[in-house]
Amino acid sequence: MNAVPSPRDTGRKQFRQLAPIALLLLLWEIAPTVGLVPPLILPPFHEVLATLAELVVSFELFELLAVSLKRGLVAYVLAVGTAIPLGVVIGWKRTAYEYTEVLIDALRPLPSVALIPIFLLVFGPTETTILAIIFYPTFFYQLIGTIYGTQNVDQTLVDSMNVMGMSQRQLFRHVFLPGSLPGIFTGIRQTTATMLILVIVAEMLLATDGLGSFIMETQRNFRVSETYAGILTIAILGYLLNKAVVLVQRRVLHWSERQTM
Amino acid sequence: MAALRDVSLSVSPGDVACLVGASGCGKSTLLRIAAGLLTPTEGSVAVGGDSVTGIADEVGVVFQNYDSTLLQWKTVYENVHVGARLGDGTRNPDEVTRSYLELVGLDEFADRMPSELSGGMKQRVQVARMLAYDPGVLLCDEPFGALDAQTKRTLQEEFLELLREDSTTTLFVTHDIEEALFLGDEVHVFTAKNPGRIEETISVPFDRPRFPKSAFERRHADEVVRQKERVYEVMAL
Repeated sequence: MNAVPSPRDTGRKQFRQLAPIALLLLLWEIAPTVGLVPPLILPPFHEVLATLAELVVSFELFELLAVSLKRGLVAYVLAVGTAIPLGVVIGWKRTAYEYTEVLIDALRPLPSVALIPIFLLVFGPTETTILAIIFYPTFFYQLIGTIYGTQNVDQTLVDSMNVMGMSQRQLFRHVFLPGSLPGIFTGIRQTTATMLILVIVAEMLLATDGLGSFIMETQRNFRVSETYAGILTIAILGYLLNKAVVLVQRRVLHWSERQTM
Repeated sequence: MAALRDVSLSVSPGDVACLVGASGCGKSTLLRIAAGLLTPTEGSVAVGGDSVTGIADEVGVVFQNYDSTLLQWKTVYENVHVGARLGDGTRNPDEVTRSYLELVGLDEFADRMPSELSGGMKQRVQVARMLAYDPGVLLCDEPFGALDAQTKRTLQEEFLELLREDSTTTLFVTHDIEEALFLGDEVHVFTAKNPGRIEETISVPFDRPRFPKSAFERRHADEVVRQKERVYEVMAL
């Protein structure tokens, strides 16, 4: 059992966590002010903060966020929704694994950005292409995580259920699906980070709306303060998404002693 | 390479047959074959006179490793309920679950998760699940082998009582000779040679009831030592 940390310990820990961030922001504020960096390349922090506030007040930021999040979420749900059932079957059935192992290993390392020309050929410069760019690696990360998670289900557990005559359907639902959840969540965490990267990249290249397009456009029009405000938003979004996944993981895997953090 | 050769074994209805031998002698392999989890290259398994391939409906198994046989994501109650539901279906699963949880002394822990329990309690859950499943033939693969001495003793006594009540035909694998003498009607002794083979079958001379174990030990101390020596001799052949 861990000892409960005293309020003083918690305070110290929080200080240690926040101090480097404060220092970084301070440097950001000072560097352009004293002329270390031209303000055209890096506007002082307070200016970016003011721009961010304007974007919030004018609601523009929420529109940008909604567009990007929707893209990410649609591709993500499609990827996770197909990869998890497929991964459980591949991890469970030896033959399925043998048929797909090399195929997956060959397709997975291919960067989806390299497939953009093909996506464009097939789908044109459309929303579908953007979704495909996000879907491809997200799907494979989730698939691999689920396969490993399923293969980690203890053979003795499967034996003891088989001995009692559990049907294949019940095995899938009550044994392999919950048993692979730790692996599934490892996949989800990798997937979340990748998903955000690809939403931004795809929007930079192919969209006229969303955060990725926004930071690209504002930079081209010398509205650098807005570019930084956009980047700051993406950073916070990435942090919050990861936190949210960890929170859900703790809830869902409360039974698991060895949560892969 | 064969793990077993020329092994023949039958258990009379209601009897407890123990398999003892050093690790690697093939006793667990024999149990896995009897359970239908392994297909023998030669030979056959019959339950109640009918030849069986694969897993027989009548058979239930209690494994040594309680950590890997419980559904970690289900509560104690739900774990036992799985056994009751997969049983023959003539009894109400909820009632069965409650009664066996009470029998193994876990009714207060019904809503706990397996990860919150001690090793002995987890093994009780597995035993309760098996009882709720209600097999005609019970196969036990060193079920108390991973427990501390105190817990092991308690569970042996409880197990003996449960067996006496239900008179379930049982095949019990163990490397603990005293355990075999305490629980069994007969003890089949494996040699350490390869491939494994049953060298001798001992009819256990102790009357039932043998409960509690302390009384049993007081009464039969000398005979237990004698039988133990004999088993050791056979194992070393």
